[in-house]
Amino acid sequence: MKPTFKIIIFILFFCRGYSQTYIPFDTISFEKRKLFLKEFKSRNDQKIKEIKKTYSGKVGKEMEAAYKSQFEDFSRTINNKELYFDNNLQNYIQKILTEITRNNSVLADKKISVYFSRDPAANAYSIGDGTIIFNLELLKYLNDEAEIGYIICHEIAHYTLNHRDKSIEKEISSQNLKDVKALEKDLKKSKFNKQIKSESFAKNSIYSRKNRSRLQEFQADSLGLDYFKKTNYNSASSINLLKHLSKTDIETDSLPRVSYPKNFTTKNQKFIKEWVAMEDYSKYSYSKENIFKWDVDSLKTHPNCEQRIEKINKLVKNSKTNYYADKAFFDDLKKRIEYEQIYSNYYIKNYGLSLYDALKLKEKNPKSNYLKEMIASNLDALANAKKEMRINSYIPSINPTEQTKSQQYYFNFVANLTLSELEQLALDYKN
Amino acid sequence: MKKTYLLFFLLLTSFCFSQSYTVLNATAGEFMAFRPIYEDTDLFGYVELRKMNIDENNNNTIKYIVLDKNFNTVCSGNLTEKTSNSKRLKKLVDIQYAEGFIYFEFYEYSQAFGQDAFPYFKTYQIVDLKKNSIVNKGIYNPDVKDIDKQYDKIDTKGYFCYSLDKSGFLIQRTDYKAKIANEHNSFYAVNFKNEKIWEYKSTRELKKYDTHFTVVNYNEKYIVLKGFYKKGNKVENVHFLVLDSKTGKEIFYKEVSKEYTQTTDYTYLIEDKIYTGGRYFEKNKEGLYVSDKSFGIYQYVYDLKTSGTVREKYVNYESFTDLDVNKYGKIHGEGHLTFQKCNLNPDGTFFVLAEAYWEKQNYRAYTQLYTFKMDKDFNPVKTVKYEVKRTRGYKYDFAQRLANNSGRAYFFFDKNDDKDLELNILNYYFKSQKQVIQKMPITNDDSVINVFPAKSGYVGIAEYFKKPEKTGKFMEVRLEKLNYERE
Repeated sequence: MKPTFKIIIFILFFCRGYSQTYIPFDTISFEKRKLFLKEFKSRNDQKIKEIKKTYSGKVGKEMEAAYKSQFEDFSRTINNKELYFDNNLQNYIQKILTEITRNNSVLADKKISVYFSRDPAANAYSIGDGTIIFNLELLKYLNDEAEIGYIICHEIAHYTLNHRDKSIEKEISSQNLKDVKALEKDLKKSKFNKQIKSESFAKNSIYSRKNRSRLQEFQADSLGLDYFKKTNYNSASSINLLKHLSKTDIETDSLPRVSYPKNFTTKNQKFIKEWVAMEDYSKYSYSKENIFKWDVDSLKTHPNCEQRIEKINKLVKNSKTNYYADKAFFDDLKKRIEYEQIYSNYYIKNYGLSLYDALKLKEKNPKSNYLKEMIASNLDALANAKKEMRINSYIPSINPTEQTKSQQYYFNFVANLTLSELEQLALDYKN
Repeated sequence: MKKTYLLFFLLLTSFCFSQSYTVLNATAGEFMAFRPIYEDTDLFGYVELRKMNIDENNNNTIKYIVLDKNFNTVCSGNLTEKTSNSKRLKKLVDIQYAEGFIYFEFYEYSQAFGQDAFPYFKTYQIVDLKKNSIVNKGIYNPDVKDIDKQYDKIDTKGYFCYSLDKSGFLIQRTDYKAKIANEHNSFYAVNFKNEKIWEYKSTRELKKYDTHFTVVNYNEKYIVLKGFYKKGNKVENVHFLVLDSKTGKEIFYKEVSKEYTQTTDYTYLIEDKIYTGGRYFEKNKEGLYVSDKSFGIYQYVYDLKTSGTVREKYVNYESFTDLDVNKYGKIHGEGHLTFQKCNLNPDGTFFVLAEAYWEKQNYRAYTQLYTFKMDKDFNPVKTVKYEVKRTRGYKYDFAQRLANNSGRAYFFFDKNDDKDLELNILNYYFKSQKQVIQKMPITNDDSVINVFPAKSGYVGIAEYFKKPEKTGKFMEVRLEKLNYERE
C-alpha cells in the first residue's frame, strides 16, 4: 500500500468520528488562565477605584463589597478551570463577534470578548466588564450559528446598557433609602408584628428587583435584536432561539433500564439485582407551593419565552439568509458537543453527570473507546469519593419532584453500588 | 443537626443578594427546632419549625417545613399558638409522626434571668400532611379553658405524647395531686382526629404510694410500660406492664425480680417479644446504686403472645472468660465497663458494645472499646477489644442499620494521634459476624464535619468549610450511604 494512501486511510479513520478517539478541547491553559485572571483583576480594581470616587460612606463601602464579592465568585469560576482558552474555539467565537461588531459602529470602541465555558447549565451571561461567557452546553439546543450570534448580541446589550452596574447601584441605594432605615429602626424597637412588616417589605423589594431583571431581559432582547439585524445573520433566528430556550430544562433523552445490565456486567463483576432496587417515595404528598407562599412568576428573573417572542416578533424580518461565519466549525462543534461535554463535566469534577451522559451516548455508539475510557475515569473518581464519604457531592439524592424517572433510576443505581463493586467496575472498564 | 436551620435562611437570601440583614433576619423568623421524625423505627423525614410573627394579642405564628428523608421539601404551613403574655415564650416540646399525621406539642415558658423557668399550658396541634391542613388543636388540660395566667395554679397535670403508628397516638397523663392513686398516671389513645379511642387507669395500687409509669417502648400493637410505686425515696414493686395499643387492655404484667437493683438500658419490642436489659447491682430499697459496683448485665425476654417468660438471665462479669475483669466490671489495667448498646441480630444472637472508663475528679476518662458476642441464650461467646485512645467523655455516638439489613454500623469518635477527633464506623455483618472499622478525620485543613443519623443505611454529614471564599459555600449537607461488604 502506498504511503500517501495509508496516510489518507489513517486520517479518514481518525476523522471518522469523535466516536472512537475523541480529543477534547483545551486541557492545558495555565498561562492563559493566569493572564485572564490578572486582566480581570485589573479591570475590577479599576472599577473599584471609580466607585470610591463616585460614592462615599456606607453606600460606597457596600458597592465596593458587592463588586469584590462578584470578583471572588467569578475568580472561582476561572480557578475551577471552567473557561476554555482553546485557540480554535477562541478563533471561532471571535469570527462571530467580529461579524457583530463590524456591522455595529456603536460597538467599535467597546472592549468586548467572549469565552466558552464548561459550566453544565445551558446559559450565557455578561459579567459586566465587556466579558461574555457562553456555556458550551447551550450549543446542544441550538440549530444554527445565527442563534449563537443572537445570544451574543443579547449579552452585549446587557453590557452596553450597563445592567450590572445599574442593578448593583439600585439594590444598594434602595436598601439605604430612608424608608428602609425607618423600617430597620421600627423593627429594632417593635415588640410585635416584626415578621409581617419585614416580610411585606422584603417581598415587595424582591418582586421589584425581579421585575427589574425581567425588564432588563426585554431591553436586552430588543437592543440585542437591533445589533443582530445589522449582521448578515437571519434575524428570524432570534425567534427560533427563544422557542428552543423554553425546552432547555427538559431532559430530551433518557438512559433505558435495559442498558444497566448491559453496561455493568463486566469481566469480574456480575450484575446484581439489588443495584436497581428503588427507594420508595410514594408515601410523601409533595406540595407544589414554595415555602414562602410567594408568587412564583413574580420571582422569575427572566420573562416567559412566549412573552419575549411576542415583544420582538414584529421587529423580526425573515431575511432567508443562511449566513455562517464558519459553518464547518459550527457543524463540527455540533457533532462533537456531546463528547466534549462528557469530558468537560469530568474535568470540572461533575463525575455523576459525566458518567450519565457517557452512558446515554454509549447507547448510540456502543463501540466507542473514548466513552469506555470516560466511563472508567468517572467510575474511578466516584469510587474515590465513596471511600471519602463524599459521593453525594457528585450523585445527588433522589428528588421525585425535580428529577426525571431516568435520572432517579440512575442516581439510585449508583447509590446502591458498594465501594468494592464500584472499584471493580472501574478496573474492568480500564482494562 | 444544629446548623441546618441556616438552609432556610440561605434559601431566602438566594432571592436577594444585598437586602438589609435586619430585614432579612426578621423576614426569615427565628429558628425554633429541627427534628427527625420516625415511622416506627424508620426515618420518615424532618421537620423544621420557625417562629415567624408575634402580634399584640400574643398570637405566635409558627412556620413548619416538612422534609422527606432526602431533605426535599414536602410541604410547609403555619400554626398559631398563643402565649398568656409577652414575657412568656412558646417552645416546642416534641413532634410525633404517625401514618401521614404530625402531632406537635408546645409549652409556654416563664422566663428568669434570660432562661426558661417553668412550663405552662401544654398544647397540641395535629397536621394532616396529605392535605397540609390542621385537623385538630387544643390545650391538653381540660381544666385550663384558655391560655391565661389565671389558670397557672391549676395547670399541674403532665401530658406526654407517643406515636402508635397506624393505631394513632398515645397520651400519658400525670397528676400527682390526684387523690385517687390510679389517676397519678393514666393513659388514653386518640385517633388522627384527636378523638379518644380508649382510656387506661391502673387497677393496682400500693396504699400511700404514688404510681409511676415510664413508657419504655411502643408500636401499633403494644405499649410497654415500666411501673413502680414510690413514697419519698422508697421504691416498690418495679414491674413491666403491657397494654394492647388498639384497646388499652392489659395483656401482660410481670414484677421485676427484687433480688437486685437494676438499670433498664434498653427495651425492644421485636415480633411479639420484649427484650429488656441493663446492669444489675446489690439491692437498694431506694433504687440507688454505685456505678462502679455493678455485678454484671441482665436480660429478660417475655413472650406477649403466651404471656410467658422466655428468659430472665443474669450474666456476671466473671462469665466473660476471655476478659480479665473483676466482679464489679473493672478490667485489669483498665477502667470499669459501661454498656452503650445491645442489639438483637437476625439469628437470635446479640451484639453488645461497651466502653471502659476511669473516674476522675471532674470527668470520666474513657479508654478501651469492647464488643461482646452473646449467644441466643445471652451467654458470652466472644469479646473483641479495640485499641482506641483515651478521651474525655464516651466515644460511642449512635448506631445505624446497613443497607439491605446486612448488618449495623456503630459510630464512635476517637482521637487522631492524640490531637483531633476522628470518626470511626464499626460495621458488624450479620451473616459473617465480621467486624470492620473505617476511620475518617473530623477536621482537616479545609473543613470540619458533623455527623447525624439519617435514613436506614445512610449517615448524614454536615461539612463546614473554613474558607468559604475558596469553595463558594460555607457548608454542605450530604447523605452518604454507609460503606459495607455485600455478603
